[in-house]
Amino acid sequence: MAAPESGDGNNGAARMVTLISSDNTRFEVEAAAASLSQTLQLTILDGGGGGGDGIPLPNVDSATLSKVLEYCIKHAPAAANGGAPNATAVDRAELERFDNEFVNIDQSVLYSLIMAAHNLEIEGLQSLVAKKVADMIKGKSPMEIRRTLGFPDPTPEEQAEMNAHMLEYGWAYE
Amino acid sequence: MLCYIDRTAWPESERVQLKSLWIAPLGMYYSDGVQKIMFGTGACKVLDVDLDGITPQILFTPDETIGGCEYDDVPVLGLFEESLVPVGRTIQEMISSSTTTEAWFNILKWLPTHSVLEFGLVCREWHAMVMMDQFIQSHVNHANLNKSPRIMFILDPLSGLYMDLEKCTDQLRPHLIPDLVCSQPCHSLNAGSCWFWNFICNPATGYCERIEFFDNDDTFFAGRIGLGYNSEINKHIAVHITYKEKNLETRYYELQCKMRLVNDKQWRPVDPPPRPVAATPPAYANGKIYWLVEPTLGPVSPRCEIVAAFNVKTHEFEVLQGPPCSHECGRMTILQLQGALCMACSDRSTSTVDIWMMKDYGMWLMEYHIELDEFLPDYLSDNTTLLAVDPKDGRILLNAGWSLGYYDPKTATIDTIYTEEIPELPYYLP
Repeated sequence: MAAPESGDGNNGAARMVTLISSDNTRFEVEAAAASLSQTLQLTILDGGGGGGDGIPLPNVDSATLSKVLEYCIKHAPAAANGGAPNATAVDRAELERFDNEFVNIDQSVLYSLIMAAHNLEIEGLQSLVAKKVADMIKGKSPMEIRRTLGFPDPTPEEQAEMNAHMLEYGWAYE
Repeated sequence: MLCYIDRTAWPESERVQLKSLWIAPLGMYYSDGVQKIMFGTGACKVLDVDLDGITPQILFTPDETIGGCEYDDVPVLGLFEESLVPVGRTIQEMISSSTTTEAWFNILKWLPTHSVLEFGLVCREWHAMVMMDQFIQSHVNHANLNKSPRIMFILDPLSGLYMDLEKCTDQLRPHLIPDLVCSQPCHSLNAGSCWFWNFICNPATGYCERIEFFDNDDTFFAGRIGLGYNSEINKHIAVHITYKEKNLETRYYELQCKMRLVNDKQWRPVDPPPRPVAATPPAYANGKIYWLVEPTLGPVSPRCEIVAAFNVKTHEFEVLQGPPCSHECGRMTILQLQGALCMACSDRSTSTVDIWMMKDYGMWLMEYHIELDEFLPDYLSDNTTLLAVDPKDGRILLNAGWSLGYYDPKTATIDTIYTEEIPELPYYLP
């Protein structure tokens, strides 16, 4: 399977690393992009992931990983500049537009992205996806949340206990 | 070397009895004033010896019925202590060790308070999570991050009935209460006074506690209750100040002052401030609650304006120099903007409001100068005070009693978001 394109900044000299998804697909990306992941950063700094080796990511499937890398490649140049200081308003607006479009995806993909961003510790992606999911569940009732996520319903006793506990904290319900 | 034990020097009978492939010390202790070392053997026997190592004393030999010491060469004995220390995971550990729950932690922290409250009933794990201090702190930081100020009307401070400004329509308008003051939010709680009683509330959750005193003087006094936050113990502190006596002619006054932790019902007396406090709601910033000094009581101050500050950690008041402006020109209010202590000083002759901010070393710098000439009569300088600065665009939220509006310092324009016939406008910002 083809690796995603490495952003515009690729002058041929950039160091590349290989990431291997849980279903054994190999992705070749610039080290700078992969380093957005705190988890990968250390391995890459130690010189890992280059050549034929590759870094196995047993918790991330190829569909999710390609999405994650799309984000990393887009955000790598700004992160390399230390974020905002050098970025022009145009660059920032472009990133914002990209982010908005990026999370405009199927719910199931979004949930796999949460876990991947979490496992790989990609801070920006974590908050981006978390905010999107937060927006999606905002108006839902506890019952709807349980149905969506497949949680079992609490027993009436548990429910009563939770209600009482909340009141104790001074958290009143309308 | 502490001691050397030569097993060949032991008496024959003990040597045979204690023969084992594994022997190791378990601990040292004092018995009858003599220091001893306790050993265990692979055959489950326990002995102790003096430091000279010569005479072993057998303390325990397993009964036939225990049996079980099949392997002579493995360490089978150990010590234990009396303890209630749990080995199972606490709910906090369960939450932080589960990636799924941790991911939900990171999602729920972005939600508004009322959603979090609802979701606390989804399941036991979420319930435990939203009650964790760690979550509450993280939620305050994230849910308010870069958000415009939120405004709620207090419909009934007694029962904690509030109305979000966003829900106001032409048909649905709050009936405003005169003689009501409410503080700026101090770590998510607001304090206020209404007639002769006070309240502490969290309008986001609907929590409200009414505070009454037997020694109240039945008068409305806006400077009565101050709210602070001690970040060392993560607790809110309420300070209550009243006048036992005040005489405007002789300038004689007597203050009484008490404080309590908000979650503790017991009030404790504290030394009152060294200056009389003004009838203006106090403000909290950086570990101190600040009151304005009442200019009509006590010794006449040669300098402009002074502030009495209560330190939430030491529980003591101090007096600070205020900015170079005077009560004679117009109204003064004290407030917190962007974490710093500020004073808004109006000048009715020029229809302006100056906002001074206290910088390091108690130095005052004028941060904003607002000209209200164009916006009369809605924004009378004497009625106008600041509520907050919108972190998104730097606009300043003004409360003019009649009207609420955003003043844009770049264009010097006001965008009125609410107006009302009744002069008093209670407000709150979460």
